[in-house]
Amino acid sequence: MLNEPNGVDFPTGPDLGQVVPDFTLPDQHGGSVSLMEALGGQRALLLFFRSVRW
Amino acid sequence: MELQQHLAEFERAGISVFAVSYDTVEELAAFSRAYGITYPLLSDRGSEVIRRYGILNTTLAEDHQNYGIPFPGSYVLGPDGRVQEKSFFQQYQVRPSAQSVLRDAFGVDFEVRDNPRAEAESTGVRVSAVLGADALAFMRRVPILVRFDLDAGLHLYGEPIPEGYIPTAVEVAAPEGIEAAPTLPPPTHPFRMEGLEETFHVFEGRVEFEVPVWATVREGGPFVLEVTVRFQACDDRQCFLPQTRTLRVEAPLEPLVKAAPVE
Repeated sequence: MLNEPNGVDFPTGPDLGQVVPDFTLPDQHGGSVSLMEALGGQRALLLFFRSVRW
Repeated sequence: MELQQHLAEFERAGISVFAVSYDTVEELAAFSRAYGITYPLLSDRGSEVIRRYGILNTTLAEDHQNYGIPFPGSYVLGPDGRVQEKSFFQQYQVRPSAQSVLRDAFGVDFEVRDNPRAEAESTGVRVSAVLGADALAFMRRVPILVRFDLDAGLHLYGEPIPEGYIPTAVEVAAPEGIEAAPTLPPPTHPFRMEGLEETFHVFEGRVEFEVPVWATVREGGPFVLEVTVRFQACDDRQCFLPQTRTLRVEAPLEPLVKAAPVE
């Protein structure tokens, strides 16, 4: 398990076992990525980060 | 950045990587070019997806300049899009290394081929310690891997242990600038000795202990981590004298990389 203990509660999104919401977003090359389609039957690591600026 | 360094390992294991932020495509393109990022950086301008996932950082006021950022974290997804693991960190919490994620969440082991291995020996027992990553890094957890190779017929003791016997102890003396978490022992199996009532919990053959360490400083090093092991090897009839050994693992510190300025 990678869940870490928190001092303060904050939301962490979809729960274990839940299917994550699908989405279509542009990537850095100007292409388009649809998550479920891009999974293509493979496992994946999906990260949310704050910004490339800092 | 660290993920990019190990991306080939993810790809070899058939694991895709996607990263989402509220930056513009232009900002992501500049960053991607500057750091050679080959996995998709997805632009969630307006934070619609961040909101849909329920991870918008609402501790910021709407007029704050950084409003729209998520609580940062990651999901390990199965091929069906189901969450298998998730990891969300507070600001200054220690994070796992990419190789640790590969190993702990995806079950893909990594090789520590080129790292120098400190070694020690006792009758029938060989101990070695190696850093389980290319380098230490600021607030990133990497393991020190301490391996015991035992001759056939020998065992060491784990917990729980009857009184009077010596459990196997592995500890790291972290120098200033480094912190260590409690040692993670490998699994034991039960063992009975003829004529004795107690059940022992023992290690045999090759086993590996892990001591998670991380740097609390942004620069410095290389650091010397002293690993002290204490153990008692026994066979099914007798025990050898308890032994203590110290192994020195030298580890460099990866310098902290700052994001490229956006034109």
